[in-house]
Amino acid sequence: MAEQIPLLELKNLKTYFKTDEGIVRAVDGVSYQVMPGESLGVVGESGSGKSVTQISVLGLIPQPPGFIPGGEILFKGQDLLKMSKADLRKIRGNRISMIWQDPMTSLNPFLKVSRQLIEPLQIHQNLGTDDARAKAIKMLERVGIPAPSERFDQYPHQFSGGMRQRVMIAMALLNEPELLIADEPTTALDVTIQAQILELMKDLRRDLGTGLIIITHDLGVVAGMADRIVVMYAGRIVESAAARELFERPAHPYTVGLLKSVPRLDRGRAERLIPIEGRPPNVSKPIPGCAFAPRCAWATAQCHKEWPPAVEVEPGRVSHCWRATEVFEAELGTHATAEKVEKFEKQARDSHAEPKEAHHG
Amino acid sequence: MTRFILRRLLASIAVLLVIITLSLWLTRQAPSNPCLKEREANTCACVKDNFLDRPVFPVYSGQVLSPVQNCAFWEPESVVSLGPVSILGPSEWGETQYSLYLGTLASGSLGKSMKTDLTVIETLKSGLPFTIQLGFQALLISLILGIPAGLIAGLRQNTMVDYSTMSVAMVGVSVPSIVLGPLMIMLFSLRLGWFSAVGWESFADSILPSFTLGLYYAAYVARLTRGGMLEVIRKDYIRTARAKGLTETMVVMRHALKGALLPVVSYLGPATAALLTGSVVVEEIFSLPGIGTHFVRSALNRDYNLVLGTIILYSTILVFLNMIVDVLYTLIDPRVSYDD
Amino acid sequence: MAESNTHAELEKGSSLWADAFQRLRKNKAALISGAILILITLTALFYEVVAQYGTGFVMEEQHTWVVPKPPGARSVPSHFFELSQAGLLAWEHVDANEDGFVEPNEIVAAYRDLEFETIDTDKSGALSYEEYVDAPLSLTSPNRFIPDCARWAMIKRSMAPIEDSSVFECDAGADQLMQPAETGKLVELVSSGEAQEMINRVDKDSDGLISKAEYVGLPEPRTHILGSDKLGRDLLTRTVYGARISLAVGLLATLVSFLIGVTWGATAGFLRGKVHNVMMRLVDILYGLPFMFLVILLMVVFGQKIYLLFLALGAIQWLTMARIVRGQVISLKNQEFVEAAETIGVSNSGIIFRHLIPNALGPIIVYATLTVPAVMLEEAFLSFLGLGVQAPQTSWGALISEGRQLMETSPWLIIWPSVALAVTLLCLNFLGDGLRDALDPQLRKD
Repeated sequence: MAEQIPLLELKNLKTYFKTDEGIVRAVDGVSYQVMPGESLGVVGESGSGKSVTQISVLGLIPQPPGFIPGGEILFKGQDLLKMSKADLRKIRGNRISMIWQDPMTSLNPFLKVSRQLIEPLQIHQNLGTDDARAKAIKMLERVGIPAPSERFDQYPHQFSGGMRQRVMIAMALLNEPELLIADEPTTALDVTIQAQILELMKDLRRDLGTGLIIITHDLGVVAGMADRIVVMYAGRIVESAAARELFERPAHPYTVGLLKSVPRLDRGRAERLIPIEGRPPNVSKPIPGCAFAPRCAWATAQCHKEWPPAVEVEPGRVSHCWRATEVFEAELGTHATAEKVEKFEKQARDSHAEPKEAHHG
Repeated sequence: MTRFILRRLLASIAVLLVIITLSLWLTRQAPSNPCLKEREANTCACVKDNFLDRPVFPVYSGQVLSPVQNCAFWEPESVVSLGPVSILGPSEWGETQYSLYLGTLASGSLGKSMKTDLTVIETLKSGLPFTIQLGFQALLISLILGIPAGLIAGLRQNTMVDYSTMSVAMVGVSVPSIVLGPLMIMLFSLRLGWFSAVGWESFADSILPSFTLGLYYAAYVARLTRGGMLEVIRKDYIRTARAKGLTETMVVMRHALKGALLPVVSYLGPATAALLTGSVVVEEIFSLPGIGTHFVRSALNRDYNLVLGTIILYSTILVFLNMIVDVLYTLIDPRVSYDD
Repeated sequence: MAESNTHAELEKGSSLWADAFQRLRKNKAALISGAILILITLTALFYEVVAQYGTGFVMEEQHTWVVPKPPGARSVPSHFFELSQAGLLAWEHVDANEDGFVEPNEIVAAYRDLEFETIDTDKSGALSYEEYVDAPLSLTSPNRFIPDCARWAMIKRSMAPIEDSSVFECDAGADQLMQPAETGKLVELVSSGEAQEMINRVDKDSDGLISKAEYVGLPEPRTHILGSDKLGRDLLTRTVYGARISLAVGLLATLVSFLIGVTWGATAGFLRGKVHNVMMRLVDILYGLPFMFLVILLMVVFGQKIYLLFLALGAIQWLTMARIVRGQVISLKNQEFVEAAETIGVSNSGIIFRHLIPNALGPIIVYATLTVPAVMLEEAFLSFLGLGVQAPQTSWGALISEGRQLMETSPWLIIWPSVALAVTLLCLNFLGDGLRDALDPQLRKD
């Protein structure tokens, strides 16, 4: 495993946007890797930069106003940032595919589904129209579209949201990519459809051996899907861990907060949810300390001043928190009750005199 | 689809009826008589006009009126038919003027010009080819110049290309044809001598008028196309297309173009109306023998039969072109259904 | 990125109008346009002041010329004038035959001397070729109507202050100088008719002559900055007056369309249901009508009265306004603050006027701004065709129409009204675009 070249490796990637209010640091030094066939979950609130990171991987950041001031995106050791546009196009939709958040707007309403589906086959595999159609219909069947050959020549507006997302998945997987990036693939869908789509993605991924990056704000989605999870906050990774370990023993107060704000059926009505107070920070100004500090019960004076280095609380488990070990030791995972979390947070707050409301924004 | 077209057709005919009624009613409200001081003063209708506070009109059932010297038959309260000729008093507006005019229309005639010996249809027939050619060439110019300019500006947003194209377009929509036309005559005809200043003998004579009429719309179309392109190019499905590995040209031509041109297509309806109105002015500037010139002359001469005929012709063209544009729109945008 | 901006705005909580103003201030083109428009509007508004103290002429003031005078030529104003007894207008000089009375032909001669002295820049008493071609009435004739000196001798007595510079050779003798007597119409400022009018103005004993006791001086000549038309009317004055009519029609017609459109749209949007359907269906049907032709018919049937013009032009522009207002009202009506107003028991009309309309105002103002140039354009078209503003009133369209008749010989007559119209339309469009970008950033295309 250690000798293998990672399928995708980000090294200190930065993606900024120029706006009227200044430079927005949407992604500010993100590093992670995905091994072949592995599945990585990227979790964070909206605005945390998780989508921008993945869009940067495909080189689809609109420039201007976006620009990438630094970092590397290594796809099987090749830096995508240094690649020519033509070479990058050969990778897009072929070796790296993407599934977008909103299936209602991500398919071209003016073109028949058939035309949109066979496009990647025609450009990357040079298939003729007939071959491409046959292959695309087969794929539609595989993603569970009933009567695919009849629906093939319809327009997107004649499909339901769930069906459209299935079409998107089919389109992404037609060229059997090595890496599939799914950007909140179920957020725009009904809850009942969500599970079906996730199940479908899981099956297809297993069959094709595709590496997967799944971006979501919903921990429930990644729980069953991801091997490893990185948690992003304000353009940076705050914690990364194997999925099971992250849920059991989070090592960052933000992860604790995320876990506690998700309802869980198995805990019954007695379970109370604890929302994370406040709002994500404005990233158009540099933040000197930990970006989460203003909202953090554990924050100390140091947290407001200095960005915490990576703390390895356990082999393979990294957390960017000055009090990572304390949080980790407290075992505030999914099994911890709300009372327990609150007790620890109260303790943490009492252990230092620093007022919480300082440095807001 | 057939039902959709049929329904639009019925609606168009209804609109036409409204226009005919409205304009007929308007001409019959005129306080002055068209033939009071003109050479038709020898016709019975004009002689008798002195006794009325409203004008009376000879209505022709598709046939030429022979001047009536003897007015003994005249009775202001009634409609008198004298062979092919009917003469109407104003009191019968509701039942007779209207039904008679509609009857005349149904018989395929628009009556006779009140100032010349030609029928209205003959007059319009002589002018229509010029007007149609002028309008068509102007439309072509506006699309051929406007769409590429708009696309380039939209795709190169916030570059010098964009700024300069849009500045030119802004000037284009601000310089009216009554300014542009004389300017072009002064420059290209009087100074450079490339074209003749007025008249329409050969194709070369149609160039200046077509540009005078078309440049405004070219500028407008360029602005619309740019706006459409800017809107479409930010759509999620364009990102999807790029993520598939399509070249930028393929993204634009296959995925963005249709959506970007939708505003232009929906503008085609109003544009034809505006082109018709505009052609009246341009024909006047270049002294072209189109229906616009006939319209202005007849309006100034109070030749109401010709005015009515021209308005009916314009409205028919307009209403049916609008219908075609609607159908075109449904063909481009699959989301628009024919059902409503 | 988008989220963080929204948050920033939420935190600042600045109002829509303050934001819009900030954005507008950054738009240089819109600001400059706004300034130019204010200048034009002020000029038009204060036409009387401009006429009296600026140009010196009023718009209908005629001077007897059969051809237009080019920019820089002079006339003697008959309406607003300053009397002068200085220099060549002194009694001693005007009463050339020293009979103690001033007759019309003496006034004509006095002005000729005055004009000659003005043209004769080196005060040599004769015109050199350079002085001749610099004189404002000396223009190269575009169609070369002076073939030889014999014919020129005939022509110059009867008409044509516009001479071909080649005729200098005809009038200048062997000394290559033109004497005062040879200048013809080139130095003529007033006709004997005008001179007689001047006399009548001061002639107390009505004997048709001015005695020394009656003499108060003669009006100073004024320059036609933009030239004059063939009736000798000052073009600049007429253009300023035309601005008044063109802008008034543009603004009033827009106001009419605004009133109809807002009332119609807001009512339809607020009432919903059947009434709404009927009202908006009617708008759809009206969209298909060729309105300009009906307006023309209206002008023909009921005469070209100016109030009819802006009523008619306004009445054909309200359809889009009604649609926009309806859309705004419906979208706003669904928002929570209307529900809140309803629950606290504010009446329907209270909701419309106090809550809905101020909030829907942005797009409506933008559309109204863009309606003004559209209406002005239509008015110009109508006046150009002779179906709009009627003499003695005039508008830019009417001026362009007049200028077009003479554009070969007197291009200034069409150029200046055209420039005025085009610049105004350009400024209105820039301002409209700027307002749209400022008030509705979502609609913004750049």
